[in-house]
Amino acid sequence: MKQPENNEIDTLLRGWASNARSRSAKPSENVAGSHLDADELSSYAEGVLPVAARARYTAHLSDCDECRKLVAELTEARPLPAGDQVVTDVNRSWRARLAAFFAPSVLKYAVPSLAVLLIAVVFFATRNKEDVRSVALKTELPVSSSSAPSPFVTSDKGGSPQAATSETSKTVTRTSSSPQGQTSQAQDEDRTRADKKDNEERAKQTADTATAAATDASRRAEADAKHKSPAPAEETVVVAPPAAAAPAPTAKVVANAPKESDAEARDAMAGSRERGGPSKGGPSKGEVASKNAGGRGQDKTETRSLSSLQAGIASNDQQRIVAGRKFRREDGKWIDVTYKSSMAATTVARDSEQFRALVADEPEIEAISKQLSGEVIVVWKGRAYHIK
Amino acid sequence: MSAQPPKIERLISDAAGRLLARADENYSLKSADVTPRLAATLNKYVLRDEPHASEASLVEFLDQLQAGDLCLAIACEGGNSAAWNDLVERYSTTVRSAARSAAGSEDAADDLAQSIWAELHGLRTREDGRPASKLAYYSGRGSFAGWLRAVVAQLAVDQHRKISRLVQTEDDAEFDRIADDTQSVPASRLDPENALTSDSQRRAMEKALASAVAEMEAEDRLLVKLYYFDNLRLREAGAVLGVHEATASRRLTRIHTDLRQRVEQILSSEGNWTKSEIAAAFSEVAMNLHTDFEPLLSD
Repeated sequence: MKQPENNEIDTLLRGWASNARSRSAKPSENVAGSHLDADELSSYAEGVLPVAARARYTAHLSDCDECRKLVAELTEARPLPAGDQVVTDVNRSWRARLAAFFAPSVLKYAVPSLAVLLIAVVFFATRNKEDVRSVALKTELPVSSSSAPSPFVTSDKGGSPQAATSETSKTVTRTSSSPQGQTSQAQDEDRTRADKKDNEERAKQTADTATAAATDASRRAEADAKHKSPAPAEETVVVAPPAAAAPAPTAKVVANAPKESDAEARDAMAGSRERGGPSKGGPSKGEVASKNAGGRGQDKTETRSLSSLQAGIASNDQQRIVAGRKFRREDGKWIDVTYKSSMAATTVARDSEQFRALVADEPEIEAISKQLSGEVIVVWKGRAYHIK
Repeated sequence: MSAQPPKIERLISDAAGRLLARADENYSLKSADVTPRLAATLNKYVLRDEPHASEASLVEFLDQLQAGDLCLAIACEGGNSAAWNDLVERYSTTVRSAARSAAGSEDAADDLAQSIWAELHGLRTREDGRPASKLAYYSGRGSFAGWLRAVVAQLAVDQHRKISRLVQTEDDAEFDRIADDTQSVPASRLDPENALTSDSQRRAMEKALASAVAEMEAEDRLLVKLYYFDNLRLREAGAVLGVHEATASRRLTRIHTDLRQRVEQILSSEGNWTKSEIAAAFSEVAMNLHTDFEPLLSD
């Protein structure tokens, strides 16, 4: 059907309705049979009638202006009926939730948002490139001076300088907020700048290897580890990805890893601490950064931003917005964020008359109680209600 | 209560027992107090339309009744003072707010609320000497609060009608005359010949449209009435029909298509209009109407 034709019939209907209204200005001119009684009107408005009875009343309402207006008035006070396409969060299965997450309407906003987020991260990383390099170089020193290079050092050398820089930039991004890290960085700045060119050249020399191994860096690192030694470095490489999401456990794992020497252990600890905790700077920075490099630095930036986004989504399970109100999950209850512990809450059981009276006056509260299962504390018109 | 088949009587009696057990407060009602109400409700909402409904569906229907609300209403109707206290305590706010939204002023709302309480108590006496309370008509299918709102709304309409009847004098006739005059000379019609053609076209099309609407299914007709006659928004009209706004919108689009086809059929078969005449008439009438109703449509 073409839109203009629909518009024409729409206009025609409006005109006809207007004429009909003015012709039957007197009430109840077109009554079809006896009017509905109060019970029928309210049951219809509440949508609780059996299908056949409802159809009978629908036929009456379509012809009786008076009853129709009453039903419309009574329906206005009711929340949206359940059972239609509107699916509440409570009733949705995980499959439906997943589908909703990837729905075009969501992606329409999510994809540009992610793109903007990525651009922001890349921009930030590029902006701090100088600092990053200095940190990377600073951490290179002990590696180069190490007499017994560990497998991850190999993987480090195999990694491209860009990747190492990118990965380290994340470290710096996180540690830059730490005053200790900044101080340490300032102290080492001159030294690291002096070594900067040399290190870059060295990194370029290893770039060929890095390009070949870029896509398979982690596998190679594992392979190296198997062939050379079960060094703690391999442990660190393995645990590195979770470290992005949960820094503290990583530090623990590294600390528990077999130690070749106290110095190495300290390095490993410092490196892992740097990932999550306050940075103190130190030789292991370069190791940790380079271990994870292997040409995947950029990808990791994306992965990390995605994981942080997913963490945000997960935390949304603890928050819900219903009927324009924000609720947080606390002790198994949904609590209105505007609720304060100093407020006296009226306790209302869901099945009680008091509850029905409340929702009859405030239908939104019913919508809230339907969408949020369990105990709910809602602040409504300055009063707090504890719905059980 | 009409005599029920023994099978249904037993079914109702069992349901009455369950209902009393389900209610938070049953005011010491007996099964016999509740049974007649259940039977009446079952007849009204199920057996009238489906005389051979399955037992399971009858049981399901009865078990879905609002047990607490129904016990309260029946106990109040029976004169239980504890029930009346509960009724006033729980629902005076509901009656008050419903009266306030139905009446034009605070005074009118007070009067309306008083009338409601009088109706609930029962102004007249029944054959058995007990007051004929409106509470006897609460079935327990919907909420008691919703029923009270409906009672208030109906009473407001009744009172308004009575007042209108008193006020209605020869002014009405004068008003009708003015309205007819206004209708017969639309401001946008300056050319009498064109106006005549256009008016006859419009009348023919409106007649065909009315026939087409009358032929529609009740649910679709109700949507048309709610949307075009009562000026409800799609969201509100959808709520009356128990569907979401988007569903109502899709349904309305389909109705437009169906109506257009049906009107074209009627004009073609009954008025012998050609396709081009129909198309031209549609666009012309719609254009003229659009001009007439432009201020309204722009709202």
